[in-house]
Amino acid sequence: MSTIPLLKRGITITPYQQPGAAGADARFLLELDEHHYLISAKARALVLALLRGPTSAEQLEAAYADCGGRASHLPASQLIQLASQVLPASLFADTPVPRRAMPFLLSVTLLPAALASRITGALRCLFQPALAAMLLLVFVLLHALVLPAAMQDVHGAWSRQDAALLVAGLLLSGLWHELGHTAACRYFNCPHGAIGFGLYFIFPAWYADVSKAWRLAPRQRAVVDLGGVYFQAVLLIAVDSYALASGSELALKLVWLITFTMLFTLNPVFKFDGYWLLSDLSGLHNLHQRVQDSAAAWFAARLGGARKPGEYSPPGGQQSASTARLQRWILYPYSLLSLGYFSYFGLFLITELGNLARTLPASLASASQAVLQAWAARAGFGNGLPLLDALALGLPLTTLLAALVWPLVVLAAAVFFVDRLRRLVLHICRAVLAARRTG
Amino acid sequence: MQTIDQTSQTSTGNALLQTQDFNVEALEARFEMEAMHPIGNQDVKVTCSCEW
Repeated sequence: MSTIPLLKRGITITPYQQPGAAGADARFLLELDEHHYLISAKARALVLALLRGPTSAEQLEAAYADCGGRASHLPASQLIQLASQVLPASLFADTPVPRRAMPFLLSVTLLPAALASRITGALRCLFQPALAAMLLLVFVLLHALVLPAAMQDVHGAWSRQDAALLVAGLLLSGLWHELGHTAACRYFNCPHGAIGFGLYFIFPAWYADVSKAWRLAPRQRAVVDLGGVYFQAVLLIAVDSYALASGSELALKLVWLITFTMLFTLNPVFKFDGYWLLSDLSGLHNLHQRVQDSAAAWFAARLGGARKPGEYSPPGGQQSASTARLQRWILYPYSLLSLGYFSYFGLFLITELGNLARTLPASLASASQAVLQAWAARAGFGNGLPLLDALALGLPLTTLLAALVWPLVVLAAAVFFVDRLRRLVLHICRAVLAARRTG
Repeated sequence: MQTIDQTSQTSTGNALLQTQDFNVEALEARFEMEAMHPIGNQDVKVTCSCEW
């Protein structure tokens, strides 16, 4: 018999609430540091048995039976084999914990968890149902009055000062939005992580780490998902009121911008709030992975002779037939939408790279020329005022650096996109080959 | 993500069933995000009202 594996300390298992799963289909949430796994009742019994540190086959079998694995008696050798096959390698004591996958190209923490937690402690009261209902009602009434004017005003001219103020306002509203997600976690007594800023695909984005929200019930997670948009609605009560009272064009533009980002964030294709909302309400996890799986199953059915995509059952568990059917009805349109969006995004990047190839050399040459001229002339304006010298050189240098920002973002997004495409193609090829082997 | 290699479990249907009974699915880290849609002259007309 192989050696009984040792598991790491610090593993916790709690019941997981999932629509349509109960009794023998119950699922459990296994947490290890920042990693979360959904496990079946039998996998839970196996993990609990291994955590008892059995030293003999008899002890392992007894521990497994005692931890709820009574339904089917399995010999220790089979339990050990199953552990090596189904349990994530990171759970074993001799394997390092894998680095956490971040969805960003770049990211920086701005409010560490402890500081964010102090702020959300004061804000969580905004989720009390009666108060939330009243605030939302006020928002709907006020916004219905202000939005038509804001939609007209946004087409007017923007001064640079206005643009700078609006960007600042939008950034603050983004931070407030993240505080909404984290405050919702606090309201449900669930810990949350840090708040930061990152680059997701080509989108500069605020983010809040609410990974511990996996502990919550689906409806509570949906509240966490909508917490950001709700906080922005509360903010808009103030901005709408000011716009209504003053008629300020700047306030109207800010109203439009915040409304636009609120709607944009409900897009479920990218991992914004709409993604998690769809995932939590449907009970489907790892939606992007599922899209890849359904695309692979579709190709395997056509090219490899595997079972039809309609018979594909997601690996998330054994839900009731009606839940599985509902999930398929959600998954397949979502997959089509995502693949369509993915293709559009690829075309956008190709077009943008083509545009940059045409225009970038000239704009860089002109910006570099300006820097060189300023550098050459510095002897001439060396008048004992270093600040003026720095300004004279700094302005063209800033222009040159600014000209590089968008091309670098597009380039990074293109690399990211090609990598995703490569993974998708490999996944499909593996599925087709596997289908041909077994077919 | 921990995936169950079903192709290696096809020696007996029973083995496949048992492996599925012990299902483990890795959940994604949840980062709730708010994207800042880039404001540029493609979206809105920016004019300069001041002398720079």
